[in-house]
Amino acid sequence: MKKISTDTMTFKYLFALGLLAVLSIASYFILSENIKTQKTGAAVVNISGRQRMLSQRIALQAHQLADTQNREIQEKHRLALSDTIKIMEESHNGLIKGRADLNLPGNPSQQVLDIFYSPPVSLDSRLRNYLNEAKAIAGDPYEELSPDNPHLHYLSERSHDLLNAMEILVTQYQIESESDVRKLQQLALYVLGIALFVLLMLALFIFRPMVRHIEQETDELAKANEKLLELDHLKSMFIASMSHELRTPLNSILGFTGIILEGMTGEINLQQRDQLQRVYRSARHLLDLISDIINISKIEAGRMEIIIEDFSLIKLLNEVIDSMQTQIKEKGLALKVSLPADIQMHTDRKRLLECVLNLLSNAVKYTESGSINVAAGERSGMVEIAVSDTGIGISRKDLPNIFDAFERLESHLRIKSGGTGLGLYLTKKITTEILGGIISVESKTGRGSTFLLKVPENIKQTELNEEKEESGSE
Amino acid sequence: MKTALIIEDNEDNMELISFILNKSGYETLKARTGLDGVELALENRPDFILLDIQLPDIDGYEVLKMIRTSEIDGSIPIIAMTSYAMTGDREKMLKAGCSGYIEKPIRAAMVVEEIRRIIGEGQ
Repeated sequence: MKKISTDTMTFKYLFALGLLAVLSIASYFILSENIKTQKTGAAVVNISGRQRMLSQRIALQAHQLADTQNREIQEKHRLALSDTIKIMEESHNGLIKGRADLNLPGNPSQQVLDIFYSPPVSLDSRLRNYLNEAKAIAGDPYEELSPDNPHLHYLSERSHDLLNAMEILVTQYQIESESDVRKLQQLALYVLGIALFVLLMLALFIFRPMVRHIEQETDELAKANEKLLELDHLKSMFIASMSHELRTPLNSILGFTGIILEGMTGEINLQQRDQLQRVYRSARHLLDLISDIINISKIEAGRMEIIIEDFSLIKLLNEVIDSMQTQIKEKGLALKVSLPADIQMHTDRKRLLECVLNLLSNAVKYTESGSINVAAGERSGMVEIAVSDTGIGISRKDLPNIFDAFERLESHLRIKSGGTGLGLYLTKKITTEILGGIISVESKTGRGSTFLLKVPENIKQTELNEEKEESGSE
Repeated sequence: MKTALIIEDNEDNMELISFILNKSGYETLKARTGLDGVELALENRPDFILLDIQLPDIDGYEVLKMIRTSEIDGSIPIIAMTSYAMTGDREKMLKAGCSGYIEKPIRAAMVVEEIRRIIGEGQ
């Protein structure tokens, strides 16, 4: 399958989005332009249409003025006529030069200019002559106002032609207004068409390939995940069989060297005993290493079997202390134990025992003289077990790494000490990941160390379920 | 002399255990598979059985069940041999009717002590 570059896709996608944004803005401007055009078009047509009516009214009002003898009424007609003349003149100027308050745009087209200024229509001069005659009547004194007034004649004769000329203008305005609106509508259609085209391209060249790409990736991920599960299972099987395969020959080495050392096969000399003891210790060390590694892998794979028991903390601590008693005496160390009233625990007994035993055996291992102190207490559901010694201590430099794998102290005791270098690492893993507790240390070089273990008295049901689920997949 | 049946597939372990038992004054019968072990147990009625958990055909747990269900006169003491690190094995075997257990790696003193605890002194 073709590999898709997401960078190119992103670029294409952003480009398409940008284009759509531009098109949207364009269509907004087209729409507002359209509304403006419609408004001014309507205004021009209306006002040019009203001019026809005004020319007729001027003729009528001129006649009324000439016809009446009553001076008062004459004055009234004179004023009305002047008003009408004024309106018509202003409208005419507005159509030519533009007037914002009437929505008149001005700048007439060539055709309109021709109608205004060129024969045969020459509307401008026709209209101005007409208005001048009307103004003359409006300005004439009483004596000259009669139906025979020459200006009145002029108006009567010309009003029909003027009306026709203005009709031509209105028609022209109507045509222009409609064509402007049509042009804008067409432009809007083009923009819409381009937008739809862009959307189609977006679907064909970006959306569809991306969906395929995602489907393909999801497929691959699912397959990879399956493979990983398989590998994880293989790893577990491997660890389980390693546990057997590595231990069997070691058990044999330990067993046979053991019976020879016990003298069951006859006498051996001192040198042979010393050398066989070295074989025995090395094999024992190797066996411990294997056990630690297997336990660590089990915890890391979430496959450590957890066995919850109800038991007494005091009994557990005494069991640990008893098993170390011989070594403590051999080294001539003092042992101080301060235990509280008994606490009932509900957690993995064997793992807790392992942790405490490891801390105590470390304390004995790294202390040449002085005392070992084991103390326990309880605070709001957490049991605290402290193991202190007066041993070599841990330097400031080593302290942060003390719980890491194979992080043993550089010291003269190191060679003598044995140990796998995995003890504290495993203890911390068990404490935090199995028992749900924490472990901490305080120490100074030459001043001894205090390891503090804090674990819940009662392992929480939820934690237990999680662990069960994980180990259930085995 | 009391007779022990050892059911163990690993040749070295077999040699080690039979050596310790012989030295301690027991006769030994040897079976390398689970089914052989069951057959020998029923035919020879040994005084006690040392049983490995991981066997090539059927595991120690199966062997234990077969002997326990097919036995006619009383129960032969059966001592399981389990690896220290294999948590769960020991509890499972004791629950299924094992009389005792020995942890691997095997130490002579430990083996003899456990046998005496279970079948008593006299040889």
